[in-house]
Amino acid sequence: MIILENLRKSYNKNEVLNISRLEIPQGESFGLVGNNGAGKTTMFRIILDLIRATAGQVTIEGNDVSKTEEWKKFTGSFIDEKFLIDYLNPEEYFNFLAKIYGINQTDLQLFLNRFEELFNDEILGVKKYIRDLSKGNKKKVGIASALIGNPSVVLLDEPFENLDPTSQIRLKKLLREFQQNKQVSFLISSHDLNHVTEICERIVLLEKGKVYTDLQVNESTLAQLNEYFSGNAAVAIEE
Amino acid sequence: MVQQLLKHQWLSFRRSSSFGREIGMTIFIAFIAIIIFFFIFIMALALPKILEDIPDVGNPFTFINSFLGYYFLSELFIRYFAQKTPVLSVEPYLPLPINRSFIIKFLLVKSIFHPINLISIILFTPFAIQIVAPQEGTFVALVWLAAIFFTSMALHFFNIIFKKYLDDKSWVWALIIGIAILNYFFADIISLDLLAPVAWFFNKVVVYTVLLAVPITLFIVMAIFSYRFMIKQLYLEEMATQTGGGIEKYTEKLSFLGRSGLVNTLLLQELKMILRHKRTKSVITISLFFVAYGLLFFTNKESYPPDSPWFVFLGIFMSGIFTINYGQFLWSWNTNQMDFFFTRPMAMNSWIKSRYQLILFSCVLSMILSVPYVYFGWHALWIVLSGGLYNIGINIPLMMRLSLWSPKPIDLNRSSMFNYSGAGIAQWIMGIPVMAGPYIFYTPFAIIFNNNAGLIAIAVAGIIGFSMRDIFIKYMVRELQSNKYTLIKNLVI
Repeated sequence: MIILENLRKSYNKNEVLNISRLEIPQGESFGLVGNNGAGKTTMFRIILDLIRATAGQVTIEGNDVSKTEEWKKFTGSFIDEKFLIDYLNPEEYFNFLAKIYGINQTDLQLFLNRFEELFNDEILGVKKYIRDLSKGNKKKVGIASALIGNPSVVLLDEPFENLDPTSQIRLKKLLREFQQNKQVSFLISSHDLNHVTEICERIVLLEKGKVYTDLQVNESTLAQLNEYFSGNAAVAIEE
Repeated sequence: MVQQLLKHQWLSFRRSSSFGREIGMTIFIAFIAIIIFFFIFIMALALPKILEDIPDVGNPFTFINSFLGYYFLSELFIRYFAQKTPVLSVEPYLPLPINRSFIIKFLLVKSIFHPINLISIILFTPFAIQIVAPQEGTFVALVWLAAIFFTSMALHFFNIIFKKYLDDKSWVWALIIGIAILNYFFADIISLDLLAPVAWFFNKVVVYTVLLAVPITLFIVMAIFSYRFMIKQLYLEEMATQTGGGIEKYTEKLSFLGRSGLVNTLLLQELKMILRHKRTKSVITISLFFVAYGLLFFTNKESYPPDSPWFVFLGIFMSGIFTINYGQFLWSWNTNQMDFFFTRPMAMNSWIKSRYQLILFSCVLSMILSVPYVYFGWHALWIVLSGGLYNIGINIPLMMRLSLWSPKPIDLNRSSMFNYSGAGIAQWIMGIPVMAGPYIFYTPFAIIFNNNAGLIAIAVAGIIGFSMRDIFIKYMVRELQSNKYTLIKNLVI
């Protein structure tokens, strides 16, 4: 359960985020959409305590993220390439993560087997450092590293970006598997409305830092979102 | 176009995230630099008088010339540390219709306008006017001065090539140390001075003024080499770090470390980082090279008698170079991984402990490597030991804490060809307490008792510091937590 309360972030009097209250119950898959600069990545970074909020607080399972580090044990995340250790090759990187999370080799292997389809023989067994992988492959490594260690909350910033169409479909399949088997809460931000309406049960639309609308996903959600992004925001978006 | 590029460089400096903090210090340092230049000038003016007072100097002209060899060597030394290599974040300009040759020429010419290039002129002009001109004629004096200047400029370009290309290749440093050792033995045993040809050349230049062509040619050759070399490096695949062909394998041998505890795993991590990036590798190479620094001091028995307080500085320097060079950028090295370390459930305590241990290991290693200095006498061993202990106990914690102050982002993946980021004024200032600190302990004891008591005081201070390391690590964890947001915000390329 993630709770954002009175969350505000300003840079030099320029308010980029203003969320009065947002509650994400355990096991809910939550999509975040919005135009560029709407505040999606800022919101993620505040949840991960990488940026200090100007006001308000975020709690994950009751832990205030800026006050303790307990939440890191069950929160996985991947926002951009700086979340990776790029001078390691993927095997070393996963082994290192396994060490941090206390996962033994067998469990690590079982975990990585689930990604076999997504990795497509381009990640493991390839003698390359992560920094030399293509953007899409780096993304795949990042997504795997977000899911390692049995997290109950996973934040992914634009996971479908840079992936080829096959990989996008495989990723969707993988995310659904994790959703069903493990009761994981996914927070996914994306520009791809098709994918996000397929995976997420709930979609929040940010506009200029504020929650514009908060929808439970149904068949008409995709059409409504398309209307919004075509510039017809005046067309009522029904709850 | 030149104006545009200059404007861009100025803007990138003016708009850099650390500008506000640095401007005060930069002005201060510039002020100090002006004062230093002034003093150099005064000293140069007084040089002839000073020379008169030294007995059996003979002809002051030939006397000065005999020192030119050493002068150029020390200039090279200073250039290596003080001279900033030409930097321009070049990638944005590459696809534009701007000639690459133009960019490189711009960089090279701009690099000439550095205060360091004035030193040779400031130092030798007064002498040229006062002694050389009356003795040999104004024109010849000018030729002599020009010869010195152009040699200095050739060194300027040589330094650029050296820093960009050669300074992480260990054979280069081994060669330098080899030559230094050889020179010592030649001078001591056979009385052959390898630098004598330099003196001979400058003596002859006033007779055969056409010899001026030699330094000028050297200068032009070095400039052309720099140009050719830098042009080749403009291709993106050259700009990405070369790992020296093939994946680095040494750390596989150390993987046993990874099996025993998080601290060791993190240590191994950091070792991989150091070995897999050119810039950090060159820090190691330099640190090893500086173990040989002691040769300069120990062989020079007249200026540095065993009791000299200079040895305190030497002891710190020899085992502490890695601590200083690596430690001052401790957090900057992780610029590309900052988000990783702060979003994983990794005890900060373990991380900081592993870094402490890494630097500790380097100190111990340099101390062991310095043991052969006992060849020069037991006092050498005490110096190495006391300096090393002090470094371990006090300078490592000091450096780790100081490096939190004003850290600059460093992108290790950029070849240091076009990116020597990270070194700001703050880093230079950090060196002061590290070098001057031991004297706080040494001086009272050395004055009241004797030199050895001073050394023991330093060693004891180090041991006490070492015994408090756990307290220090806890302190660092708290500091890191409170500085966390600033650190993340500043370490962005």
